Amino acid sequence: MYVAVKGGEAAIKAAHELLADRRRGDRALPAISLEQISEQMALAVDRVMSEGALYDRELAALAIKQARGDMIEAIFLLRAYRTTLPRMGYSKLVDTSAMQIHRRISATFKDLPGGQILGPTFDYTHRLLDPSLATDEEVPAPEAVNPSDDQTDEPMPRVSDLIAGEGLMEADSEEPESGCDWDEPGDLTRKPMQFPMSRDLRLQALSRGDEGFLLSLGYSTQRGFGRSHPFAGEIRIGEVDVEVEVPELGFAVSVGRIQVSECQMVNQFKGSKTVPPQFTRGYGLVFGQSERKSMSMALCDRALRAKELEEDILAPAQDEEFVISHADNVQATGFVEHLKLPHYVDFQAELKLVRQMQSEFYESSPQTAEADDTQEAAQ
Amino acid sequence: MAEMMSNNPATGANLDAMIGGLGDPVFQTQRLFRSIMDAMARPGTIHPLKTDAQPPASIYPLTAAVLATLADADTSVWLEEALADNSALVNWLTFHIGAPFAAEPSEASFAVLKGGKEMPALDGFAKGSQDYPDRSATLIIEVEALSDKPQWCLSGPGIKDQNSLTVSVLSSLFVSQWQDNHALFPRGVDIIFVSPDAIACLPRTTRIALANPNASDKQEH
Amino acid sequence: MTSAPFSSSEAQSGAIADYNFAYLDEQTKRMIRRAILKGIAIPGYQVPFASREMPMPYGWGTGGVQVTASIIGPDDTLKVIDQGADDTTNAVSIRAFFAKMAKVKTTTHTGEASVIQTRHRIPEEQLHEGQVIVFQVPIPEPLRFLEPRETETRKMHAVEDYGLMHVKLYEDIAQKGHIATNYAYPVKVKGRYIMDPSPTPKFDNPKMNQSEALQLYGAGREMRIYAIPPYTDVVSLDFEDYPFEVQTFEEPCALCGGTGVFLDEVILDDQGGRMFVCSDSDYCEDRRAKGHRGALSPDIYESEESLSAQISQEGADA
Repeated sequence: MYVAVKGGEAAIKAAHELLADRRRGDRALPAISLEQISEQMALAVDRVMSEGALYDRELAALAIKQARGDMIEAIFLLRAYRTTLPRMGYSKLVDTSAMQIHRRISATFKDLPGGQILGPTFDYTHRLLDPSLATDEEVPAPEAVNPSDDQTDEPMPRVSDLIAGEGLMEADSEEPESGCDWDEPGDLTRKPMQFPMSRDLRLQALSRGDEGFLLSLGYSTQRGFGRSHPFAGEIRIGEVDVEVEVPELGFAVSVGRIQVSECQMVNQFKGSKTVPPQFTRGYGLVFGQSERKSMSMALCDRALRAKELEEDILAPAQDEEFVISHADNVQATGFVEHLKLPHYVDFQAELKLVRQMQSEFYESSPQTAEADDTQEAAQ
Repeated sequence: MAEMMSNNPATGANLDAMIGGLGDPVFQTQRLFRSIMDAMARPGTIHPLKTDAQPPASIYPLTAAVLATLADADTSVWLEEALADNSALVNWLTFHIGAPFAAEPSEASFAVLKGGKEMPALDGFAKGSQDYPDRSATLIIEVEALSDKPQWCLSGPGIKDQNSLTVSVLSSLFVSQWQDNHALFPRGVDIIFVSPDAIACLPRTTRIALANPNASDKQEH
Repeated sequence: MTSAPFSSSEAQSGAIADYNFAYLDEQTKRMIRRAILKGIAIPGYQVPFASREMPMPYGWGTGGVQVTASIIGPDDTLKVIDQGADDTTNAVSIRAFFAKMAKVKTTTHTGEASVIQTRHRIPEEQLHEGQVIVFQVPIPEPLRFLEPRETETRKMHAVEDYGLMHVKLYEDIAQKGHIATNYAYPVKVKGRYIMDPSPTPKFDNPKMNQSEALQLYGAGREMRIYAIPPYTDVVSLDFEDYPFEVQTFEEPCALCGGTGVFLDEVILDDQGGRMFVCSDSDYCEDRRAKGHRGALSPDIYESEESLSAQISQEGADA
C-alpha cells in the first residue's frame, strides 16, 4: 500500500555519510594532506584556482580533497566560497612584463631578449608511464644553474611589445589620453552580464571558463571554423606582484605574489585605407601554471573579436553570446545535472495531454487502435 | 570600500562622520528592507519604522537608514543641493554608505530629496530605457508626515481596489509630474517617502487620483 | 557597516572558512534587494542581477535561494516545497540550508509560513496577505525557445512584440489540436509583459492572478529576478476559440479524497496499477488530519504502515 513518500531527510543524511566514507576510502591508508595535494597535484590546484577564480592554494587543495578529485565539483566549492567574501579593494593593473619568469617561450622568433626558457614543462617528455613514480623513489634536485644566468637581470620584454614596437601589431586597445587612467575594467561577478560585452568582461569570462570547452572551441578555429592564423607569439609563466593603492600612504604596496600563465597569440593581419597592415592579437591570462588554458583562451579571445575586426561571424567560436553563455562549467554542470531532480509535476502535465491526444488519434482511426496494443498499456 | 575604511580608522575622515552608524546592521537592514519591500509591493501603505542611525541633523535618521539599506559603493547617490552642500552629511554618508555621489540627478541610482514646494521635477531623474526600464532612479523623499487620510486615491498593482494616502507636504506640481511618470511605463522613477517615523512607496505603476479636489487645492496653495 | 560573521560562537575563529548570516554577504544582499524592488515596480519584467555562485548547483534553486537569503530574517517562518511536497530531497536540502545558515523557523504548513520557496508548484491553500512566495526559475525568458538570443528577446519585450508567442501557440493548435504547453504556460502581467511562471503546471496559473501574496521569481544561472505584486492581473495567453483551460482530474485524491487539486500519478505495479494523490503534501495531510479519506487511504484498507500514527507524530513534532 502506498503512503506519501517520507524520509527525504534521513535519505540525504545517509547518502552524505556514505559520501564521507567513500571519500576517505581504505582507512589502512594514510589520509592525503592538503600540503601533499598542493605540492604534488599542483596543476590540479592551479586549474581549480583559475576556474574557481580565487587565488588560494590551501582552499583549492581542500576543495579537491572534499570533491574526491572531481575538478568541476572542486571549482564549484571554491566559487561558492569566493562569492561570500567581501571586497576590500581593487588591485592595480598587474604588469606581466615585470614577471619573475619560470617559463617563457616564443614560437615566432628563434631568439629574443631574455631568451627562451623551457622551465618545468611536459613538452618533449616521452609519454611513457614512469614506473619509478609508482614507488617513492627519491627525486634528485635539479642541477643548479649558474646563478648569473638564472638571475635574469636581462629584461624580458613581451614579444607582443617587441612586434608592436615596430608598428607591426595593433595596439592592445585605445591608449587613454595622456594624464588619464585606463578605464576601470568591469567585473561580471558584480554587475549583471549584458550582450554585447566589452573585451575586458569577455576576457574575465574566458579566464573563468571551462578549460575543456575553450580547448575544443580554440581547436575548432584551427580547423577552419573561424580561422585566424594564430602564432604563439609568447607564452610566459611566472610570478607577478599584486599591488594595492593605499590612500593613506599615497603609493601602492604589494599584497603578495601570484603565479600566472599568459599567452599572446599573434594573428591574421589586417589593414585598411587608413591603417597599415598589422597583426592582430588574441590574449589569455589565467592563474597558476595552465598553459593549455591560456592558449585556448587566447584563441577564443581572438575569435570573439570578429565583430570588432569586421570579420564575418560564421563559426561557433566567434559567437559571443553562445561562447560566453556556455563557457562556465559551474553553470553548465548545475543545469545539466538538475535533470535528475524530480520533474514529476511537469511530467504528469505532459502525460495527461499525450494520453488525451493519443485517444483522440485512435478514435479518429479506429482500425489502427485495434492493431496496436501499446495503446492499451498506455491508458 | 566602506568595509576597508571602517577597519582602518586613520582614514583622515572627520571623527564625527564615523559615529552614528546602524547598530547590528545585518539584522537592522533586513528588517528595514522587508518593510520597504512590503511598502513597494503595496503602494501607499504606511509602514512605521525605527532605527538607531544618527546621521547629522540635516536628514532624518530613517532616511539615512533607508539609504544604508539600499545603497553602497555600487550605486550612485544624488543629494539635493542643500544636502550636498552639507559637508558633515556628505562625510557621514561617505563613511557609512560609501556610495559615489552623482553630479547630475539623471546619473543617480538613488536621490535624496526634501519634499515640499521646492522639490526638483521628477523628469530630471533616470527613467530607465525601454530595453532596461530597471535602470531608473529610486527617489527617497523626506516629508513631514504620512497618513492614510484620503488626499490621494491610489490604484494599480499591489492595491486591492483603492488605497488612500496623504503626503505632507509636496510640490503643487507633484501629481501632474507623477501622472507623466506613470504614463511612461515600463519606464519611470519609483519613490520611497520617508517621514520621521514611517515610510510609504509609490512604484511607477501606481495611479494617483485626487480624492477631494478641495483638499488638494489647500495643499497646492 | 562591516558584515560581522553570523555567529562568532558558530564560526570558529581561525577556521579555514566561515560564512555570513543567510550565506550571502551584505553587498550581495543589497544588490539583490535593489533588483527585487525594481522587479516589483515593473511587474513581469526580468531584472538582470549579478547572480552569485551558491553552495548548491545552478539549476537546483540558486535563484530562489538568493532571493530568499536576501529577504529572510529572524522573524520569518520558512516553508520549502519541490513538486508541491515538503519532503522531496531538494526541498529538504534547501530547508536545512536556511535552518542552518539563518536559524529561521521552518514549517510544512502553508498557512504558517511567511516565506514559501517553491519549485514547480503553488500550494493549493490560498495564500494570504503578508506572505511571500519565492519561485525557483530555470529559464526565465518565455521567448527563449522561440528565439535563443537574449539580444533579440530583449528587443521584443521592449517593443511589446509578442507575435512569435501567439504564432507558436496557434501552430500547436493547428498541428496538434491543442495548445501543447502544459507547464511554464506563458502569462501576461498587468497587460504588458509576457512572463514565464516557472515550470509550474498550468493548473496553477489562475492562482497567480490577483494573488494576495507577493510573488518573487529568481533565476540564478540566468541571472534574472522578477516579481508580481499582490492584486495584479495575470492572464494566461489564449485565443477566443481556444480559451485557456487548466488540467482536470477524473478521480479525487486516493488518500484524502480531495478534488480540484493537482494530482501526482503513482505507479503501483507493472500491471498498469496506479493511483492519483495530491501533489501538495501539506494540503493532503491537513485534510487527512481533519478526517477526510480517499479510496485507497491506508486506514480504510489494510496498511503496512500506520499513517495516522505518522500524522500524530508529525503533530507532536510541530
